Amino acid sequence: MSSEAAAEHAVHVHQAPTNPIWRYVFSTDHKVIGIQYWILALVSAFVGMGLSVWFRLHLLNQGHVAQLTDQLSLLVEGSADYNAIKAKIDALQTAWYHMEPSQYLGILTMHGTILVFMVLTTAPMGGFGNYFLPIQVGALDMAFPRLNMLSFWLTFLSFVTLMAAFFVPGGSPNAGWTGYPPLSAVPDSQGNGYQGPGGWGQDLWVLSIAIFCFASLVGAINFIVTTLDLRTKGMTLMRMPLTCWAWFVTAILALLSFAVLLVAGLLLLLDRNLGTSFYVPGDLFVSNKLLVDHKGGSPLLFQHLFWFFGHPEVYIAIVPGMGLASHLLSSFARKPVFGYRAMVYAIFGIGVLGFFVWGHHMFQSGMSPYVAVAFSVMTMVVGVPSAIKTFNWLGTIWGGNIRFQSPMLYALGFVSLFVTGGIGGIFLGQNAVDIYFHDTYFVVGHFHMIMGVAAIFGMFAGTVYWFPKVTGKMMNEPLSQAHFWCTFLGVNVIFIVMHLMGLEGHPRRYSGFAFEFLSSDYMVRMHTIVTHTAIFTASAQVLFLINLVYSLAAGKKAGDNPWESTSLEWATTSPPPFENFKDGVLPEVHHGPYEYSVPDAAKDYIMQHDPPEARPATAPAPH
Amino acid sequence: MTPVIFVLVILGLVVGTVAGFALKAPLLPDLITEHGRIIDQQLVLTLYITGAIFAIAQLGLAYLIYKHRHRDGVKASYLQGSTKLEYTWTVATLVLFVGLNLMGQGVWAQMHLNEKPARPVNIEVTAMQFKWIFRYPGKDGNLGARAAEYINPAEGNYVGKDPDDANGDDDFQLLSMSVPYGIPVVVDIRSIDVLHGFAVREMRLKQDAVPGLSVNIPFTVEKDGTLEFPLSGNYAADLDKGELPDALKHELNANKLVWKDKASLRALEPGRVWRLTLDPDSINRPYLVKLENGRLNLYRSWYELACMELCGYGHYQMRSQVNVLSPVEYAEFVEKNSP
Repeated sequence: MSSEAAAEHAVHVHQAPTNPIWRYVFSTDHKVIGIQYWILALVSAFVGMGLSVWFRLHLLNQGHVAQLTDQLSLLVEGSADYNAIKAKIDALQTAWYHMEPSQYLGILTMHGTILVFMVLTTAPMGGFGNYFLPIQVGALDMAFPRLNMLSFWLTFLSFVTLMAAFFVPGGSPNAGWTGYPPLSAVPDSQGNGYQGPGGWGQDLWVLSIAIFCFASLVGAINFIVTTLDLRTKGMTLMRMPLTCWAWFVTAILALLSFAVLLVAGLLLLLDRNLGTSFYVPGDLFVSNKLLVDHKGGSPLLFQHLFWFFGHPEVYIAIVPGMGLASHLLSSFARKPVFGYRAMVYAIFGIGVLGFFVWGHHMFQSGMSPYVAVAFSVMTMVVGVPSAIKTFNWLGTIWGGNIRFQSPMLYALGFVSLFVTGGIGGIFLGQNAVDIYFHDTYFVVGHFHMIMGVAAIFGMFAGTVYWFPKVTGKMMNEPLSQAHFWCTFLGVNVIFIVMHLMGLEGHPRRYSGFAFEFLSSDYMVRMHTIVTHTAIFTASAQVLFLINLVYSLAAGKKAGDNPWESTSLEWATTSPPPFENFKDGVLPEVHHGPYEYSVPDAAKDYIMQHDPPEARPATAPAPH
Repeated sequence: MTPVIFVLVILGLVVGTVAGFALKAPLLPDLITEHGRIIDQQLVLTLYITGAIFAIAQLGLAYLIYKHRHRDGVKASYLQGSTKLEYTWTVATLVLFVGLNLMGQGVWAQMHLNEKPARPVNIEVTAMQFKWIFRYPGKDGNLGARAAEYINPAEGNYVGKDPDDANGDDDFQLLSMSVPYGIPVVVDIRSIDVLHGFAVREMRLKQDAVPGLSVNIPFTVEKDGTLEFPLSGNYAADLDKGELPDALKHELNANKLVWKDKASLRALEPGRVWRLTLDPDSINRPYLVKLENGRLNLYRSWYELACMELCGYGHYQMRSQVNVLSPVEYAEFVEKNSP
């Protein structure tokens, strides 16, 4: 469809509904849907973070209990000292944040599931992608607005289903966010002492993920078609901002990987409820009896299917952040992206190679050790495009004129966290070294650093950068900066210390300190640092909330282009009209996305829709 | 101001992290297996390489942040990339990453791909919620057949030993694992319910136990113990008599070595090496006392065995231990336990 025809189409068909229910709730407008996704992610992030603070408190508590119990063994039973310590232990064991082991695993499982699915997958893609992909490529809406609405509401349904798992008899599932069978597949094996109708929490968990997969598939198709078919005149693929490339590749990853997880989840549901044996082998002896109604399943099959999704999922979480980091570094250093083409190839490289490395999660799983060698080598290869991106980010700010506004701080923080988190991967990707680190806190520190906080810094960056566009108001700069520093310091301490605990071999997913090497002074000191810093960092998130509310109510009015950026969202009003561009007339693109500091140009930036003559003929050719 | 803070924070991050790892890495848990040495070499090599990459990348970031901070009148350069530089670092990282990885494949092959050692000590490891069962083949060296239908916890038959198989007549099973040093061992790791993970830090060994699978891993323990602390008194004469002097008891207690029931003592090499076993009736913690350079040292010969694959609410307490015995003691151990 030519842009003139599209504009014509827009003026006649693309009218904002007047009924608020259709306009703000069951809306087909990609901007409303983007905000809905973002709010869902924000709520989920706070729930997930709250859970983590809770179990951090519990763990520290258990560390103290273990140490006091050690002291107790040195004292004479009944002596005054003995009784005093005994009383202390009892007090700790009845603290409000104390958890039973099964409850701990339930909370841990929910923390992981909520953050991976409801935050890391929704905000970067469903939130920012939904709102800004159509505007950045110069479209009136997503290709399939109704599918878009369906995809959000299915995601919401998935969220409600997951939350329900907290409240059903038996409580939340305790098989971890990876939900490995047989623990997840055989209700009796969870052995949490609960005797009623079996383990609905785990069923709801599987159901929630299956719904989520379906929603993501629908969303992914929408992103791909929008990118390929709805770009405005002049917006060639190689003129797309790197954010759009990132969303495009992420959508392809989502399309290919969520389909597999959907199947994996459905088979698990069948194993649990209809007596099939996809994952459950014969001859299991659980709850003191032989399980006779299962034969021939393979627990490893689930792991393969899960990680076939699970590894690309890491990139689904981080790639949009990479795109945004490139975008912001260029914009705030007032320089073109260093090696735009290499960046595009690197994103694609990560996307393609990311599908051939899932086995590195399974080196010690009992799968063929020959296959492990292949996966290990491929894993090191996928490190190369990530390294290319890092070099190019440094190249982008090299020779720049950096404006230290909050979006840039978060973007620089992203780069630093990405480097730190990526380093851990070089250990874990080697099958031999992984023998020592597998399932330790080193892994926990690594993936939190890279797919957790680095990705979340991408979200913070996106929020402060685009807040003025979405709301018409600026976020408060001092509050943003204070929040940045507290969070950046906090997460570095928490997750680097976790790497150190992993170096000592601390196993993950332990709710107590039954081992001697865990109740050592060193380990308890490390737990203390992590828990205290986690409380500090979680509290600092209140700054972010206050900032959102305050800026929404009383923020400084933002102009159309407060950051002097070049991409198309800054070519329209803040906030954009219902049809994205004034009267639904799509802008025509004449320039690349990162034309900053072009020699001899009138301003230090040329917007993508500026007339061709804005770029002086004397300037060097664009990439 | 902001760029200065940024530089300081990144500097702190680099110094703190590098120092943390530099101080901690030499203190990895004591290493007792032969293959573990190669794993440690690879780990430490990776630590050096990644440490350098980490420091260079972070400090480079800090340097660029400071050097190119906004200053009035300065215009950014219109630099769109450099094909030569990009090719260089792409090839360099590819060679470095893949090369590093290939260096680690030898030890992986030794553990997983090569032929298993001839005539090893075979031990069957059965994981179940939430304990470990170790079955030994007895004097005949052959384990009896097993099948799930024979599992009977009431009779202590967790592994499903076939009562009609004569090979199993002299098998015996225990809740902790004892291995000789200097002799190859092959563990056969399996599970009868959910996933579990066999992991001993000091052995640099980790393997999931998967129901329906049986995974064989060879290893050889190289050391008889890990130095715990030097003893201050000279108890050699008492130790030879098989008596635990009160002063020694006191010294052990002062170092937080507390035991519940009793201690047993015997000379392995009279006048030089003694086996001290604390709590022999319950948890059985073997130590060695060695006379070295005129001083007595206490060595610990037991290591904690942890479950490292989530297996349910009791996961965190699914512990057992590995005792390292001398070949002679191991022969006695088999003799004593064989029915």
